[in-house]
Amino acid sequence: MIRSASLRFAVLYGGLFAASSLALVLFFWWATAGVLDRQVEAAIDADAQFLVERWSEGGVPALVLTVQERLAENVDDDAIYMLSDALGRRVAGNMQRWPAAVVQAGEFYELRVVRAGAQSLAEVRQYDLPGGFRLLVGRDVRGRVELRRLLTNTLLWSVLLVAGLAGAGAFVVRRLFRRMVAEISATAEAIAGGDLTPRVRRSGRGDEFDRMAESINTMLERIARLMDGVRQVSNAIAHDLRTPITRARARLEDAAEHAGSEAELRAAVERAVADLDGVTSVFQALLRIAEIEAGARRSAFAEVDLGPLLADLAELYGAFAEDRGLHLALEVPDTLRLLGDRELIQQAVANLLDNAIKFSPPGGRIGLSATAEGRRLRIEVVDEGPGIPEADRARAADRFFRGEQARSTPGSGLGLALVQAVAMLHDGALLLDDAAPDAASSGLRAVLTLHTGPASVAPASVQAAAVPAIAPP
Amino acid sequence: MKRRVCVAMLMSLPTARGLAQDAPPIPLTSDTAQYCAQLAKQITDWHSSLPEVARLLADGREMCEQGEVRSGLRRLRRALVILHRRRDPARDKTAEPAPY
Repeated sequence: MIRSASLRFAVLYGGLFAASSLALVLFFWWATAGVLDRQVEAAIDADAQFLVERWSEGGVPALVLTVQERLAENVDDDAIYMLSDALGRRVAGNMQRWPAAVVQAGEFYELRVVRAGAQSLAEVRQYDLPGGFRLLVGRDVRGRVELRRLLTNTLLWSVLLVAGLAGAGAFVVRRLFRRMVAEISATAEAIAGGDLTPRVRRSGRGDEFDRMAESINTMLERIARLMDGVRQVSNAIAHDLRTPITRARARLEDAAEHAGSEAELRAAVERAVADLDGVTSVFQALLRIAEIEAGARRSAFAEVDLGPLLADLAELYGAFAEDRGLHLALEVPDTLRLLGDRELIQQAVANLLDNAIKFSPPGGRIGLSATAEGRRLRIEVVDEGPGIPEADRARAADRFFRGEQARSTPGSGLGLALVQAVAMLHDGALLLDDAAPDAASSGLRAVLTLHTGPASVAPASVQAAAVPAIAPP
Repeated sequence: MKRRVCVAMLMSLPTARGLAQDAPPIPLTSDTAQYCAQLAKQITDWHSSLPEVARLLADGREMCEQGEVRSGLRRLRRALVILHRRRDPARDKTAEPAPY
C-alpha cells in the first residue's frame, strides 16, 4: 500500500495513460499487420476456390493444367501450389515435397521455404479433395514479414515513448498535487498557530484547484468573522455587565458603611438585587438567542395563525403606546397561517414594537401590518423615530450593538439579535430600512419575513418577493 | 534481451496459426534454371511474332543464363501472360493467382 497520496495519484495517472496507449498500439497493430494477414488468407482462399472449381469441371488433368498455368504466369513469383495423390506423391505444383507439418485441412501454416537459393517464409493452407488427393495453396509472405518487422520496431519505440511520457506525466501530476497540498497545509498550519490572516494562494487559472482554494478561503473568512463576532460579544458582555455589577457592589458597600437603619439597608439590598436581576436577564436573553440559533426549537414547530396573535400584540402594546401619546395602527388579515414557534414569533414582534414605542417621538404613529407573499409572510413594523443610519444597519442585529441614538435609551442591545435569530429559524430574514426611502430620517421600517413551511399550511399565494436578509451575527 | 522478448510477443499477437518454422525449409521448384528453360520452351512453341514477346524471351533467357533466375523468370512469365491474353482476350484475371 502506497502511503503517499501524491504518489498514488501519479501511479494511477501513469498506469491509466500507459494502459490506454497500449490499447491504442494494439489496435494499430491489429489494423495494419492484422489486415495484411487477413488479405493473404483471403487471396489463398480465393485461389483455392477457383482451383477446386476446375477440379469439379475437369478432374485431376484440369487441375494439374491450371496449377501449371498459374505458376507459369505468376509474375509476382509468390504463388505456392502442390497437388498430391492418395499415396502422398507429388502430382503438380512447385513444392519439392509435401511439408510434414501440414496435416490438417482448413488450418493456416507458416513454413520456411527456399526460393532461388534464398530462405523465405510462406503461408499455406491444405484442402482435401475426393479420392485422397490433397491440394496445398500458399503465398510467399516475406514482404509482409519485412513490413511486420518494421511495424514492430515502430510500435516498440512507441511503447518506450509512451512509457517515458507516462512517467513524465506522473511526475508532473505528483508535483502539482504536492504543491497544492503544501499550499493548503501551510495555510492550515499558520491558522492552527493562531494567525487567521493567511489565505490559500490562487493560480488565477480558474481551475478546480483555484475553486477549491476559493472555497477554503471563503470558509476561513467566515471563521474569521465568527471569531471576530465571538470576540466582540465577549467584550460587549464584559463591558455591559460590569456597569450594573459595579453599581450593585457600590450600593451594597455604601449601605454597609453608611446605612442608618435597617430600612435603608434593606432598600439598598433590594436595589442591588434589581441590578443583578438585570444582569441575569441579559444572560437569559443570550442563552435564548443561542438556543434559537442552534435550531433545536425547530422540532417543536406547530401550526400558528398570526392573525389573532398580531391582533393580541397590537392590543397589548397599543395601551403602552397610548400612555406615551402614540398611535398604533394595525393592518393584518384575519388569518395568516404558518408552521413555526408561536412563542418566539410573539417575542420577536414584541421586540420590534417595543423598539418602535421606545424611539418614537410623542404624537407619532406606529404601524403594524402583515401580508402573505407566496410561501412567505411579511410582518412590518413602521415607526416615526430617528431610524438607523445606513452604515449601522448591517450590524444592527449583532448582539449588544447599540447605535449612537440608542445610547441614552434603556436596553441591552439584544432585541434585534433575537428577532434576527427567530427569522433565521423560520428560514426568513430581518430587513431594516427607512420608513419612507425618499424622505430623510423619517423613521424605521423593520420587515420580518418568515417562511410558511409545508404547502399544507401555506396561505393563499399572492406573489413571492425576494427579501434581502441581514447576515446573522 | 528484453527487446527480443517484446518483439516475440508482438510477432505472436495477430494470429494463432500453426507454426512449422522448426522443420527444414522446403525448396520450391519454380525458381530454378530448369524452370527457366521450361518456360522459355513454352514461349518458343507459340511461334509468336510479337516484338515485345521476343524481347522478353531474349531478356529472360539471358538473365537466367547469367544466374539472375528470378528476374529472368519474371520476364518470361510476362511474355506468357501476353501470349495467353492475345489468344484469349476475354480471359478472366481470376485465371491468374489472386494478388494480395
